[in-house]
Amino acid sequence: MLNSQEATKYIPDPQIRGDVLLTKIADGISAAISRLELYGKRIQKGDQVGEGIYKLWNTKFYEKKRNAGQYWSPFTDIESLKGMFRYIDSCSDHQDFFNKYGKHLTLTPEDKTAPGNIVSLYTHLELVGKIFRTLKKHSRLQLRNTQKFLIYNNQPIKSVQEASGHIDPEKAQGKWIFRLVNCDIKFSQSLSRLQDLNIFRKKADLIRSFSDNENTKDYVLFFTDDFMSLFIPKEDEIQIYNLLGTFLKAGFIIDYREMEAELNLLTSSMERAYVKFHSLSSTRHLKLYEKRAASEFPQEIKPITSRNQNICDSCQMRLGIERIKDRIHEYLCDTCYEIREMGEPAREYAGWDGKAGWMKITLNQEQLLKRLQGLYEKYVDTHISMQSVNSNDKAELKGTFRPLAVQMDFVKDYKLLLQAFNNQIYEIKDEDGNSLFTQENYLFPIEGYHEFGIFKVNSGEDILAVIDLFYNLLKEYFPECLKDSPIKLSLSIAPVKHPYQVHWRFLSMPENIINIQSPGSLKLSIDIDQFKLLKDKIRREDAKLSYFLHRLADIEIETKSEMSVMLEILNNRKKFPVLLKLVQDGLSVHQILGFYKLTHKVNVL
Amino acid sequence: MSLLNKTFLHFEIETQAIAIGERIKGGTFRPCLETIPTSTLRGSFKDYFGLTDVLAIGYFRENTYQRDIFTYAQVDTFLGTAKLPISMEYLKPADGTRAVEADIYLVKNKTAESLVIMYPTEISMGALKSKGFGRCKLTYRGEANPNSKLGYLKGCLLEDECKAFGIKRVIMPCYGYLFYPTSEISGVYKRGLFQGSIIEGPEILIGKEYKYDYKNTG
Repeated sequence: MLNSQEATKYIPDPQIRGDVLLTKIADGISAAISRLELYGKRIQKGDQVGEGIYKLWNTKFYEKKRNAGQYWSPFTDIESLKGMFRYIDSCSDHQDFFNKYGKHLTLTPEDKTAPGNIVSLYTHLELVGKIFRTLKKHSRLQLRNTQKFLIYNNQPIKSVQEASGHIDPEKAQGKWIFRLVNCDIKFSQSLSRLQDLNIFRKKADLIRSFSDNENTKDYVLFFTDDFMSLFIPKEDEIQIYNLLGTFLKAGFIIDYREMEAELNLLTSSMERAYVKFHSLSSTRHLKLYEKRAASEFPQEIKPITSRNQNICDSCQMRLGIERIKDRIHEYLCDTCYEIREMGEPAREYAGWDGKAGWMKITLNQEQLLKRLQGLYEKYVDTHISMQSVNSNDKAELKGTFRPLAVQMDFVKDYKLLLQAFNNQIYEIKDEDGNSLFTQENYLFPIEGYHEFGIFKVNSGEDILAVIDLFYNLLKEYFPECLKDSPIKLSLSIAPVKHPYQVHWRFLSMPENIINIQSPGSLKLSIDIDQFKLLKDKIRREDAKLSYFLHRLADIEIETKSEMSVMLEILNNRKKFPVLLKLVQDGLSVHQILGFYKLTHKVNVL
Repeated sequence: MSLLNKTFLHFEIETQAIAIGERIKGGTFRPCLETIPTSTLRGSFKDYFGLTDVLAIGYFRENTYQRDIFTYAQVDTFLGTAKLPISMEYLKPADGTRAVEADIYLVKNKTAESLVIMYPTEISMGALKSKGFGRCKLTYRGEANPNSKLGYLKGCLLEDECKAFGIKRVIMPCYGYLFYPTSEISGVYKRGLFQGSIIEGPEILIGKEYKYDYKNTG
């Protein structure tokens, strides 16, 4: 392509031809549905579904926007179309274009034909741009004999296929190998004082500055407050330890999953691709690693009593020196001490008494990938627009799905959900029409970090209001994920002085969509259906149910026999049918009783 | 998976309350580990049986324990006053279970074999022994000749104990520090491999299998 007569005729400047080639490579990697036709595969796609984007997790999204008066296209006649092209010619950069047309681009699908209409044009363009700029940064145009080549990592190419390889893992090899790296950013510090919460600010600041920095921003495909997805060249071009040096210097530990592969084999659904690749007898390049990046740790840390030095109490990874505050002696290393000194988050918390709830919303990226694959397969298999597609083509479309751009769109909606949670929590009214939560009793301790909040618990109503808001927002932004949501809510309720680390441990390991603990008395992980049953049936029942639940709990303690409890529930199934359903779903009587008590108007736990 | 030429002695412990703790945080809270590091077992076998060259590692069995908090105030014997209360986390039997249970594996050698007796014995380990925590019934279960496997380490051990445990290679270390006494009154913190490290070694040390690529770096 780079040296073809046709390309040279229409694009005489070889540098621009090189850029066009790189754009084409970037477009191929970014496409959720592979550009199969480029590889001679004639796949029959589905019908044109409609005008706007079809979000897999929110299938009525465009319809709702349309009803609200929004429209995918920024132009409605020839003149406004001409206007857009004039703007493209005159705008200063891509960001300028995104600013003007972004609203429309988020409603426009990258491809209007099913099943390619699942990614917004905004995200597709954004992704193509990032990948293009990374490819360009690490390649150069060179003349060899009479031919022009693009060289990356000593590998010369002059066509898309030569660089990326065939889309079929058993066919032609590609020369350009890049990496997709999914980073979980972790810390070893304990949360023992409120100032230790500054660790989240430090982490969020570093992620944002890394994503804004001119030298690194194009490597970052997307990020949340504890996760980054990077597209970077091979290790001999860029070393992770250097690239993420600022995180490591600040004491963070980065656990990452790295896929190193030819461009056309690179995908964010790493595990699935790896398993499939190894089921074939392919000699092409696709590697998957799990690695950890951390700063250097010494072989030994020697406490020196005479100098008041010992291992750091907080991170237990570095030598700490004795620091005394409020007559409490602590050994803290410089890294942990610096975090303490960053400020006083959640200052109001120190003045609270009674009970507090610690809240965390989490997005599980691994589960998200599985969920997207499931939703996509369902779309291909069952959507009316796909009815005319034969089963072989459907299998091909499913097998070559690359969820990266879809994942990026999902994360954008996730951030909208967090923002909405942050805003709407203060709009919840109590029975008298007053705000249930204020800036004084519902705190988001770290500005901009909306996944994490702390609130004062005056009654069970407060707890239920938080869960309800989460449920309503999940239903609004991700209605197709209610059964199996990668977005999770965790609540840990305890007296204000309860060790913060106990809260955090629970919040950081959510098992189901809604997770609640009251240390020492309740631990509950439930899905949305179970929550609705507990909320609508159990909580609304009268004192009779309360009495019955207490009786069951007594039987459970006395007999230590699940059979005896079950027998009692069966005997009373006509009076309390919902109880039987919940127990059959795996909840214990103790958990049901715990939820009842915890969310009761007068909190009794 | 390949056969590993290494024999371990498998013991089981049962306890009603145990606190294998980290360092106290913020002067008020001491969290509890969910595994039994080699350093804890070394101290326990030395205290109870006078054995100095026993190498052992342990893990609490899932679903046999739950966490709880015990609050106590240390006494400053010099001033005769109580210090600020400390909340100490400990493990107690999970609801519906009789005792917290753990598996302990000793690297087989002459010293370790002297512990192979057919009746249960009692040892103590962890914090607050004077308050009754950490009393364990130790029962011998038999020899284990594990295969070699690639996967995620379940427990905590010192780096320089890897060879003795039959660990062939460390693919991804997750470092932490364990206390190592150098005399009756002092010691150092040595670097160790903690849970989540990817190793190739005896399957008794490994939880989930690692199925991806790795580079031969160590």
